[in-house]
Amino acid sequence: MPVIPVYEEYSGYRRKYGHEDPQSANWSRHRKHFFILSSAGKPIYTRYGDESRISSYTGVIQAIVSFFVDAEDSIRCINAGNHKFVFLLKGPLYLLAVSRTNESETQLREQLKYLYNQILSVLTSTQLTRIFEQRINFDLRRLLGGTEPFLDNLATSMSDEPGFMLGSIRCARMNKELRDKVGSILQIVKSKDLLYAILITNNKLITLLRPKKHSLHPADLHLVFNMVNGSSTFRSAESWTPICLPKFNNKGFLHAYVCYITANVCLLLISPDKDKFFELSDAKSIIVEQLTIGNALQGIEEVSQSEGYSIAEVGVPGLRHFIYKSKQHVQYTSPSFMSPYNDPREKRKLFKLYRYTHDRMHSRIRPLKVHYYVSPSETILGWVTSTFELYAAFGPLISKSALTNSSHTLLRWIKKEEENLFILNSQVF
Amino acid sequence: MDIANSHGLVNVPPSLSYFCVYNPSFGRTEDSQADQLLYYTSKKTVPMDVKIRQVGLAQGLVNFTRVFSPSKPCENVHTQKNRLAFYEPEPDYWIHISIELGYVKKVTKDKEGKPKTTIDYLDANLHDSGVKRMLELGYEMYRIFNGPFEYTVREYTERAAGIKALKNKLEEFFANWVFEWDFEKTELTKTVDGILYMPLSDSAELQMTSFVNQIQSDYEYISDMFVIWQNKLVYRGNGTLPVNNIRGIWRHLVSYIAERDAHDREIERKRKNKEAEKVSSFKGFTRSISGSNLFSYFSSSTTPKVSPSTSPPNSSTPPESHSSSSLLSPSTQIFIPGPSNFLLGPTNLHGPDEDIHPVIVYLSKNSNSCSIKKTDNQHDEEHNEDDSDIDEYYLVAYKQNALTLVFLIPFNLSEGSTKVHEMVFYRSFHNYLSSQSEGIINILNENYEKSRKLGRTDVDKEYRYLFFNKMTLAVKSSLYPFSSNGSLTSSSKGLTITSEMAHALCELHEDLEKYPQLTEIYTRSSTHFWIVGKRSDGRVLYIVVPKKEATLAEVEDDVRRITALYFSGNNIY
Repeated sequence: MPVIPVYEEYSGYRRKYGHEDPQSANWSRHRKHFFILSSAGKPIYTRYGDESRISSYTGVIQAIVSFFVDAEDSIRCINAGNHKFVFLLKGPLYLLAVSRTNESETQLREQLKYLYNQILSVLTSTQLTRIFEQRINFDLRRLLGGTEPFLDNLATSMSDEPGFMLGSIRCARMNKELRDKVGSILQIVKSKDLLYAILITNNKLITLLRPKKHSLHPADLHLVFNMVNGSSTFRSAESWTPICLPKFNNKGFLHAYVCYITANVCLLLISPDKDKFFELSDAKSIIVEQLTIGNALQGIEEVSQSEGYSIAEVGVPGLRHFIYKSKQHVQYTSPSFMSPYNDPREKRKLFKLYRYTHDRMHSRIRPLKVHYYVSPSETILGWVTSTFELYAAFGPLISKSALTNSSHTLLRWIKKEEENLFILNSQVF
Repeated sequence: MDIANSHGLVNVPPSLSYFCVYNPSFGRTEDSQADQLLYYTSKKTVPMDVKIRQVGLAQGLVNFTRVFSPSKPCENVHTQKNRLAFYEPEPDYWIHISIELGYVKKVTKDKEGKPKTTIDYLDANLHDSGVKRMLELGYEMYRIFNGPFEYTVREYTERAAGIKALKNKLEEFFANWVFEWDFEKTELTKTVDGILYMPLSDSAELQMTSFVNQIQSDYEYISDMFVIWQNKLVYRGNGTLPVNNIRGIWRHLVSYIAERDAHDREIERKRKNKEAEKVSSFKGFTRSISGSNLFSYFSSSTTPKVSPSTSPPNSSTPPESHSSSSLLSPSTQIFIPGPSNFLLGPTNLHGPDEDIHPVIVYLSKNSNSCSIKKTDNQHDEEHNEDDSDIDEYYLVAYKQNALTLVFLIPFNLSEGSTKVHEMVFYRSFHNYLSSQSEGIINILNENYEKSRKLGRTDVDKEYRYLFFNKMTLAVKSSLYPFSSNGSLTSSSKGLTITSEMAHALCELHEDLEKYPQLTEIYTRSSTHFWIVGKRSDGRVLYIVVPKKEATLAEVEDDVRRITALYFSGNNIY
């Protein structure tokens, strides 16, 4: 009898829009809906409202999908005014995003893939297929039980964090020496029981220890972040939870020991063996001890409380904000938001522009090297080379030559700071 | 047509799957569903129940998307292999098309050396904006010559008769139109679909105004007129008509003008040949001409030849053959050397009145609601229209040399309605116009020669541009330069727009449409050409600059130079 994980402690989870009536105008007006249904048309998850009440919609969605499947085709996207309806068909599961956020079809489908991977993370693909093979009408809702908070949290993060769109993660900016010290402390606890050791804070990576042959895919790391953020109970006690990392192995479970070692810093020790809780708990104690002795614990707690570096620190004239992705290291960096982008609405508008740029530059058939445009409120530059991707926001009146100069100044600053901004060489064993 | 090359690569262009016009309110019960279908055509024959299912799917998509987007439901659907598009030009009347995407089929070897076929569907090469524009254009042209759908239905006291009449009209118009549509051609000029104008110098403008005013005061029942020089609009009426109606009429006339020009050239060629020989007989001469296809085109049929997919207006399109009508009037023995100057009007000025079948057009009333709004807003304003927003006119067109005059005579004014059915009127009108026009023809010719000097250099340029004014629908493009006799100039001179550039231009255009607050966009492709889109005050300019090493600032300098050269002074459209 396979172990089916159930997140018991989330029965108290209350969803903000859980009781919304799907027939109401309020419900339909949300900016981005996510629906997950079975290929038989049964509702499994809806971001807003109660999924037990959307079966009329999921019935229609299933009928639409089937029409094309019967014609040996598959529906991908519907455009209606400002809305996009993007479909992802994954075997027994159909996923649909209904969005008026201006995200592209590709971007929305990537997000659906993340939601799907989150489900795999709870079930593994083997189980998922088996469930549906055996009982086509199986109510997956029961099985997914408390995953709602994680799907909800993922839905929100995907809008707030550029890392999903960029397919990369962000590291906390910190002194290289401190990071290396922490990394070498992690090395102490390596054993055959340990697959990955991860130290994170506020959706940023402090450092990571991994086997030489198994890098940790950013998509898996995003799910780890999501899991940690999706539940407040990790903060109060040590936890031991099964987790499937789909990019690592979508067919089987790993087990994660999760523990906050300071108020904001979380340690995860991941093992292929489900019976190693106590060994990993001991490992944590050793780590904390060594960090304290080495004066590093204080250091990383300080890092965790910082809001990141400001644009003023970067010191580039005319530059308001940027996102820089290092392709080689699959990591990105970005400063904190200064006026006007500390206003959530302006920030959202800025992200909308970044996403438009990203989508155009990564077009499958006609990718771009440079994408520049001007609006009354800002100038945006997108620049892709073989080594990096840069998305930068300037004021609306900046001249093109000034913008080009500033971009080069920025690149020089990043190069100078790269040891602190990125993990250039992971800790491996 | 599949094109296989030596590497086993097969390139299949996009093609029509099916096209239909339907109205769900015509058949709301399960038994009467078939009544919803007003017109249907497809590549392969398909049984009725399949058609009904397709309409059912379309309605299902509209209803589902309406939940979230009530004012703008389903516009298009992308599937792996197809594209569906929807357009509701009048309440409850839907135009719906399904297009099979073009694809590339490759046969490669997999890991074990076995042949593996992969098919890559080219979804990104069929632009939604282009498809949408074609549906809108099809309806626009249909409506100008047939009136709105609902209009036709209501014309008959018995509803069933009205619906039948509508079905006939739809069949007659759309059957040809749909299959002429070339889905593979991605030309921004088609998506933008503007009117070619020739700008006039200030003095020419004054002369034009007095010319037009004189005619309209001498003939009071002419409510409005346009003037076309070669294929370019030089006078667009007194401003009461919406620009998209003007565009439709202009587009229609341009195809007639092209054919008349081709016919005239043919006559000229034959005449030169005949000069060397003796003309054997009167009848032999006429027989050789009447046998040709070209002549048979000039029937007095009112079926308009509408082909929205015509290539840039300068090129000549081969005429369809309508029922032939001989220029040798049976009642007289007089040989009339060539059709009359009336492009729309009787071809033989000495025939009986019964031979006259004047063209009727249905135009929208209110100029203000159409002229500023772009076509995607037309949808909303279309819904507010009822019968009282349509005016009917007789359309008469007269061509002399390069000058074409287009006249609108209101249907409901008794004097005008009588005149257009009388041969005597056309004869006197011809005499009047042929003398009246001489002055303006010279002025326009001068104007044309001056502007040609500037345009002649377009062909050699290392960049290409397209300029569009949303309010007047004026377009000026050097993307696909043609010489004046319609042939493509040698492509070794100047930049040729590659298909990649053509697609990129369409994408840039879609972006400017989607983000109205952006004033300029510069993109540099992975193959190192720059494309710029600039917008101000309802005018848009697209420029292709193929300079690999140029910086952003350098490209801007080029843009400034081009703008100063082509779009300042007397060249403002």
